Amino acid sequence: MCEKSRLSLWVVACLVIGVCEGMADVSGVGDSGEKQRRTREEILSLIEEAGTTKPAWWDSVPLEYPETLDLSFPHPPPTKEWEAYKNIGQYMWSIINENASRFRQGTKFMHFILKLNKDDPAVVSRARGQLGHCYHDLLQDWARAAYWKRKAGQSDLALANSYWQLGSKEMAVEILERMRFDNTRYGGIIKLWSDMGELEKALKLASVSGDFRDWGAAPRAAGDACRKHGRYEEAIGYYEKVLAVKSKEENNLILKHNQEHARLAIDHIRLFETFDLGKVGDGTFKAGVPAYNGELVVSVTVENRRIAAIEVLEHHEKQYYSSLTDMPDKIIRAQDYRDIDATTGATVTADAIKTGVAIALSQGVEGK
Amino acid sequence: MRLNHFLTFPNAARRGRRKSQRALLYRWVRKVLPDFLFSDPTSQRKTGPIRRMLKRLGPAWQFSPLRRLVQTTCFLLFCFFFFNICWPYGAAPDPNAGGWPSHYADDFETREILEAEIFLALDPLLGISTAVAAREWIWSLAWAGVILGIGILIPRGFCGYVCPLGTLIDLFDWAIGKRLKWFRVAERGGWIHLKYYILVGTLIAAMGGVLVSGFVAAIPVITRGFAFILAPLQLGLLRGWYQVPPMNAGHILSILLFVGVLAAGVMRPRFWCRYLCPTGAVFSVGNLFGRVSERKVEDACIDCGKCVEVCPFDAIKPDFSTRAADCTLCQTCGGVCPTKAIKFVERWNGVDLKETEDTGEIPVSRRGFLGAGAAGLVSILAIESVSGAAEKILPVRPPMSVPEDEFLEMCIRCGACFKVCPNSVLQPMGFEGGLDCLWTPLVAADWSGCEPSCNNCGQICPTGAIRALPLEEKKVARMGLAEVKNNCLPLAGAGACQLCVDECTRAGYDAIEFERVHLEIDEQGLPVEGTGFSAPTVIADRCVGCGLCQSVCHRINVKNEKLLEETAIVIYAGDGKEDRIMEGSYADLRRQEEKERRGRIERRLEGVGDFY
Repeated sequence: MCEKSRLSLWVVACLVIGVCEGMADVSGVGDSGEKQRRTREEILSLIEEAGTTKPAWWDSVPLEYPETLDLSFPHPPPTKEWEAYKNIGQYMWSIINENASRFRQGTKFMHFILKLNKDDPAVVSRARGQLGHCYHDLLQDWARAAYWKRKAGQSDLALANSYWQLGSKEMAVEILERMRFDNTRYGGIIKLWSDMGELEKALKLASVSGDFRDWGAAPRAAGDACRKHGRYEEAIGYYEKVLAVKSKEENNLILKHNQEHARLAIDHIRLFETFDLGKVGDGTFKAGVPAYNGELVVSVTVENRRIAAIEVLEHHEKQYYSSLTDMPDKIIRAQDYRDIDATTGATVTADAIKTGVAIALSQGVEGK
Repeated sequence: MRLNHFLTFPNAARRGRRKSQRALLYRWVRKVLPDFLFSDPTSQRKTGPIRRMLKRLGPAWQFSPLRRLVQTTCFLLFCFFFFNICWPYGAAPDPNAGGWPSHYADDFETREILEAEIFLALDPLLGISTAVAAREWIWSLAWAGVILGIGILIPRGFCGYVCPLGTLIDLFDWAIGKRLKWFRVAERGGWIHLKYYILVGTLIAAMGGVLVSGFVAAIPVITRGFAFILAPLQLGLLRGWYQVPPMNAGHILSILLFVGVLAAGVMRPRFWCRYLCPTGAVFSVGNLFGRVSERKVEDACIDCGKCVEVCPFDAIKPDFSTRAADCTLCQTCGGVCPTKAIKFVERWNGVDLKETEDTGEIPVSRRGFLGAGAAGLVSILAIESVSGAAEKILPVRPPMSVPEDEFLEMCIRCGACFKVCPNSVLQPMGFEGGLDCLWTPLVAADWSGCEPSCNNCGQICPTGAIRALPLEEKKVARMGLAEVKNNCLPLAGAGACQLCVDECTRAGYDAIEFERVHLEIDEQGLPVEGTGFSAPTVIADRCVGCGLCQSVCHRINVKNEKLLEETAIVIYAGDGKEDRIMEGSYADLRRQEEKERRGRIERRLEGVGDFY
């Protein structure tokens, strides 16, 4: 980590908010936490109940869609062009999927399409599949997701995850057992095993899946799994494997994506998960980070394993309220930067100060 | 220390002067206040230390200290309004408040214990010309009425006692003008008509719907001078020089004119006030038609001429009688007269007056009047034609502005809105929109965006060209519409970027969302995952044209990272992209639009029924 790394604002945001976890996470699973365990019968009846009743938000979301859409939902699309305002599948992909504020609207719309085309079995099947995707990937409504996935006949990773989320590891494993290796782009199958607590199974699957299409998906997911279970050094090892993958394809976007994720994850582990103030030697360290209106340079002084002083040496902020003094004070009082709340109304500035402190301190880690 | 020496009207007391000759005000004051405050002016007394000190400061301080004190107070008040109240940077967001932030608007409202634009409101020329040009009632007309009403008692007192430009000119004359004697002009009053011609020209232009009073009236001149010279200094010194926006040709012109007004003092002290100021001309006209007090000369006058020399307004004729239109009752002449022959009394007090000849002077000549009228007409045509000739760029105006035609008729180009804008997003136009847009406020969205929690410009505008609406209204008032250009990084397939989306979400408008573009499609017609870019699209219904998106794109992509030559999202004004209404509520307008939209959707879906 060089002193004035040329980080983009996006990267800074990822580091601080720890968005790494959720970067284009296709399986869309949340953290497992303490799950309520349910029996098969309970789950099946829950699924049936949910699938036949309206979700709670139904009445508060109006049905809205562009008038130019072809409501007969043909597939494949009639033209080679991408027509997001004519073709429903493309509309869902490039507009609904992209905006959280449209998730419910898109789901309701898909129900509408289902009803409109109830006499066309091909469209019905397509619509059901879309509903499964909406409820699982967009809304995380596991019961309804499972309902529609089953209706569509799709016994896939998403259905397995839904069973797991509803409380039956057994039903999830039934599906997962059939998957001999992970052929997903981001290692979703490995991830689900890890989420269910089966780290060894996850890592085994990773080693078997190897270099599938040179996506680097398996080592990426293995790294995530180790990280989740607190095995940080192993995680870094897997991430470095991702970075070492060389693709025969020139523009292997999936690999690039996984490598970007791996890079950020390694930084995050070093700066946040494994950060130990006790390892930082005495000295004054400087770091420059992009803030709201330009670069912000912060200097941190460490004495006897304590953060003694933090100073903002240079900045170009226009409205800085008190974050320039507020954040250093908070960080010094807590002797840590990880759980500090950003100053209201100045989050970009405050986050930049946090990141600057983190990077500066990382320079002082002894025995690197 | 006796009041006699500090209020000149008691100096009218003199041995031999009958009681009825003394001013009404003096008699009343004498009755009300205790005797020990007044000394016998005819007795010989040694000059006390205070009077000695005042003598050193000059004749006006010596003989009319009350006037100087009032001038000082008004000037300091003007400076306080400008530098303290109109300094918006004390605001900070409340961490405990939920909902839409309002800290800038609230802070400014609290600071305005007195309306900070009061000097602009008091200038009667502004109120009158704006009302004429826009054919509307302007609220500052009420204040104009007040100051003209006071003028009945103290004719043209504004010029002598209150006007901060006058005080600034006095300071300049004392500090610099006095020392440069080569440019002195010996003019003794022939030029005093010039200001009436300027006034008439301004009013005729106003009748034609062209507002030029803001260019020449006293208070806008000093406000703009402060806004273009001193405000950047204050901002740079207190907040950092990177915060000061760059200057354009319009700035330079205004600064030159302002410096010119002050520099004219080397020719004659208070050159502007005597010969040019049209605001003064309004008061002079008021003097002619309605005044209660007047300066009168008694026959004790010995023709020494000291009064003519010292008068700052050329209000004394060669025969030592008064040019009633120009006298501001500053009372300096009264103090300087060796025989105390000058008194400031009610107009009808005609006791023991000096004999004078009618010199045949008239306040305004017919020729001059016609000439002024012609000048006014020419200015209308000139401004209208120059603006029509140039390709009309539509500037994005401040939020809550009235429609453009009325805006140009109501904006007095005073510069107050630039001062109170915390992001410095309001900046004066130069000549790019023609002469009629010169010095009018423009939203400079490359530099910065409009702060969501602020409505200061509406609060300060003295004529209502920017309506003073509450924040709930301002946040739904459309200044313009954002448009994504072809050089946008994800739209051009050149890279990922979502600065504008994040900025708009952070501000609370949520008016920019994503659309995936440049997707590769495989043989089955399915999109290839990982391909494509998430590009910004503007939701027109929600965009208010605040410019935060444009400024972040410019700041990061153009200036800092040098990825683009020009910003990739631009705010445009114009039909269909903005709404500006003279009166009524923007929030109501939005509710109406939303109702209509819902109505359309419901009609489309009639008969669909329940579809879960």
